[in-house]
Amino acid sequence: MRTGNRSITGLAIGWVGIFWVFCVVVPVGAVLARAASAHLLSPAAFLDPTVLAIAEVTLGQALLSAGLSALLGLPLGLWIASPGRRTGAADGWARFLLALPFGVPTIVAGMTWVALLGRSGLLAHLPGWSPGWAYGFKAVVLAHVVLNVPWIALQVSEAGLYLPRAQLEAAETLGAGWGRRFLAVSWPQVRWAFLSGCAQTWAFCAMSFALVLVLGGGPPVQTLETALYSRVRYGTLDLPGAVLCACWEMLITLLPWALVVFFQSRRLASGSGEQPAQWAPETDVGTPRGKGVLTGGLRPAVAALFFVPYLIVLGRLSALPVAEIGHALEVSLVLAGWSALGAVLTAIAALIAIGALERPRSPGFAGGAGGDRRGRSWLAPAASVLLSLPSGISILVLGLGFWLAYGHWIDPFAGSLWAMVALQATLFFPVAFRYLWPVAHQAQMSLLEAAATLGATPYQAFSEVEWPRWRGPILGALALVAGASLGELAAVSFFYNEKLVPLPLLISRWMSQYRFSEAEALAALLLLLSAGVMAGVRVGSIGQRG
Amino acid sequence: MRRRALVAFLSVATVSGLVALTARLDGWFRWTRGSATPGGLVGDRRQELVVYTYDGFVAKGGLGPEIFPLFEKRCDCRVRALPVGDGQQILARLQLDFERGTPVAQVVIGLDQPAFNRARPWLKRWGGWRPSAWRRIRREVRPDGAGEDGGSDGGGDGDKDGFLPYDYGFFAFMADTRHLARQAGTSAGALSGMPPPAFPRSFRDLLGPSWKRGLLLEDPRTSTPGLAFVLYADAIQTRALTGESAAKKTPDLRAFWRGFRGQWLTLAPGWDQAYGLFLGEQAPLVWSYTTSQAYHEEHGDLTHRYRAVLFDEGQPIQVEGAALIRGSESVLARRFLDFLLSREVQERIPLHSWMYPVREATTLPASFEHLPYPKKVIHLPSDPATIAAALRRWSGGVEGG
Repeated sequence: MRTGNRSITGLAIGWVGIFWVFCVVVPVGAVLARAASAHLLSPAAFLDPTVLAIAEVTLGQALLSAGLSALLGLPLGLWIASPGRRTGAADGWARFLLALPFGVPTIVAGMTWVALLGRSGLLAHLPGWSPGWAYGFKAVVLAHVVLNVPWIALQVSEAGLYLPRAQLEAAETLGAGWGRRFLAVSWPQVRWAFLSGCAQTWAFCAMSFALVLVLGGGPPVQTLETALYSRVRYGTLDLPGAVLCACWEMLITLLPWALVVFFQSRRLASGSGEQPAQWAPETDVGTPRGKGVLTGGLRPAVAALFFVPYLIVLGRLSALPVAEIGHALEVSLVLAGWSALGAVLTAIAALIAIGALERPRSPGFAGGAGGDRRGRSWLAPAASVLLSLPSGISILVLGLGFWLAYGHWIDPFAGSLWAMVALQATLFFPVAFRYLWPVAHQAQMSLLEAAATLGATPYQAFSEVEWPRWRGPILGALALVAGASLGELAAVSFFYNEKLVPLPLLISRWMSQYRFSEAEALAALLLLLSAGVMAGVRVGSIGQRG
Repeated sequence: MRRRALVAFLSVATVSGLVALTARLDGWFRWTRGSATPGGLVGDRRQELVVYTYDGFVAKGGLGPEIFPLFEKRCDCRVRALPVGDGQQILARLQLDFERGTPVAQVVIGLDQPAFNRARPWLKRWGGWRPSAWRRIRREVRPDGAGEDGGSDGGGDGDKDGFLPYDYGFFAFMADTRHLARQAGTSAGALSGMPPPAFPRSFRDLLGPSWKRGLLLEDPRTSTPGLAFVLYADAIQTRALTGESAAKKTPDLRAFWRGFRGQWLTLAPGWDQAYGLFLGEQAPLVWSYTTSQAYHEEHGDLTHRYRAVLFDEGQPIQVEGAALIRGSESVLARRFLDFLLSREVQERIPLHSWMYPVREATTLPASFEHLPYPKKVIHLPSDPATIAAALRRWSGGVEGG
């Protein structure tokens, strides 16, 4: 994403640099330094058989979960984005409903799957149903797939908005079947968004924690994150063991993303195989109204199927002690607001910074396909991978690092709202970054240059050309992060105090006091809040495209 | 244009609201910082006692909000309670605090025996000092007393110098009689009104096919009750071995865990998740405390649906205690330890901590009087090396397949 404005670019690079150093490098470095001081980061220690066994299970579970999610998510995303049958608002609602599961708090997800798959669950009444599905590997994979298919479908559908309809129709006219049309026209347009979504899903599944704990049934179904948890949170800190798990986790989660960025940069450098992006999403012209309404209504319905199971917890809302949750609600909303702003602004700054590192593209080839065949800077892809690093770092390690690094200045026992915000913004920054990354790589440089030629100021050019493209995704990213922040527990548990107890911690606290029905009611409220925040932010963008 | 204005207005309003709420939160935080009781004033010159404890202790309904104001009144001081998560996370905080070289708190509350042993390097020994009500502590839980099996929570006063017990409880399975009745095809009334025939009577009964996937346990790596179950099972298996087999007890214990793995439905990360699944009727038995029965009785379980199950082999005991933190001890801190053994505190423990008070002759509520009291009390090992070995055997058995 290139701005052409040196001040803005400089500011962006400075902001990202500060974020990177203070929120990633210093905390992770503090943890590594502690482990290294014990001389336990040797190759022999790195190949500890116990950790290797856990890494194997992590890989197997992530592979299966991400693979199934990709298989289902790609066609779903293409169907929702398929041109020629748009009905405007309905497609926007479909994308919104696909985004909703991302904000489901994991505690709600766990409760839902127990309610569905458990011994007294809804599915237990079906004839022939085996209770063996609950509390095991299958349950974990199932929960992961249902949670992540909409994420991949959302990425694909967002990219699919720019599918060149005219080319698809021309190919169909010339006798190309669905497969040929997909390979020649659709796939080049959606592949990087699809692969980015797959890489993110892979990271989610590999770092899965709460769902594995609730549904896994105990060893051997465990991930590196659960192993890390037991080394950090239980008894005396086993930092070397935790760091070992964290290193393996980073390796497993970041490798796919590094490959995506590498191959994408190679493609852009060669300038081959890329379709020029359209300057605006395709609009529906000429489709019979009745047909459009029917298929348009079906899309939101199918998208909603991935969120509807979680509504089962709403039946417990009646037990909510409303008078006791006011302050916790306030803390959660403030935290969600600042975390979302922090994560998204940093993501935008990162994209600007990376754009500054890219070689200038040849004019007239809009869409970011680098036409400079003399060689492409390696800095931009490297920066893209580096900036995604937090997505592969356990929040437990990051939180511990914050503690170790800044404990002399921030009294962790006194609690700190801003430390919580910083931690959550760091945690969710990669999500916002990857969500906005495909949008950034479809910049309309030729149109911006044309606007400049016609006398538009940089602000006017951006406002008329780029902002309409960015508005929806930025709002979407804000909604995603805010919704996810509401249900996030690990980050807040490091820097809370008695006056800074957000809703997820209150749930945990009530459960430890036998107040289970109230805790479940609060989880239901959390679900409503997450969905409500995402709806409130995205409602303005629904119907803007398609 | 109108739409843009509306969007701009909403954006500004949202950000303004966010800033206002943050200012309110931050101001609230500064206003009440340093006070465990509502209404604490900035500029309060009273002496301050800082206490590390676990979340449940300071939460609404917990013991902290009941007793801290009493102590503040008694000593004309201010108590600042810093919740640090669960009982095990206290250890992590103590370690980091010690390494930073700036201990903040004077007292820590909520350590059990194994946790106390691990926290030993950061805690202060009392030497010759004892709280004034020391001899009023029940013999079986006092560090210098002796338990049923001759043990006293790890052995010897010297090992526990500095540990002040303030409450105790017994780990046991809780049974859902309605769930069991459904499984047995009989009415719940028949089960609750007489010695329940469907309940397991000994630990060995749990190995039977009727309990396959019928237990809810906690992960011993992340939960105190979970660890207690592993040590309990180890202790029972070890005692059952005699003669020649005793020399091979390690392989047998791994085999035991390998065989036992099929009996639990799931290993929850903590007691709260396990108990939540239990109340959600996922399994008829959950590893908990005998006092859970008292909780249900106090909260309307008049049909005694939820019952504590005692085994012939005995039940493990958990003693929770308080200690002085090294490097920051004060006279006020010792007075607080004295206070923990007072009648005012001990009488409040049953209905706020859901544990037994350690002080002899403390009046118990009716629900506690109805609880089954173990005839045999098992004192689990609390030294780190033994615990680590037990966890290795457990891990080898359940992960090895």
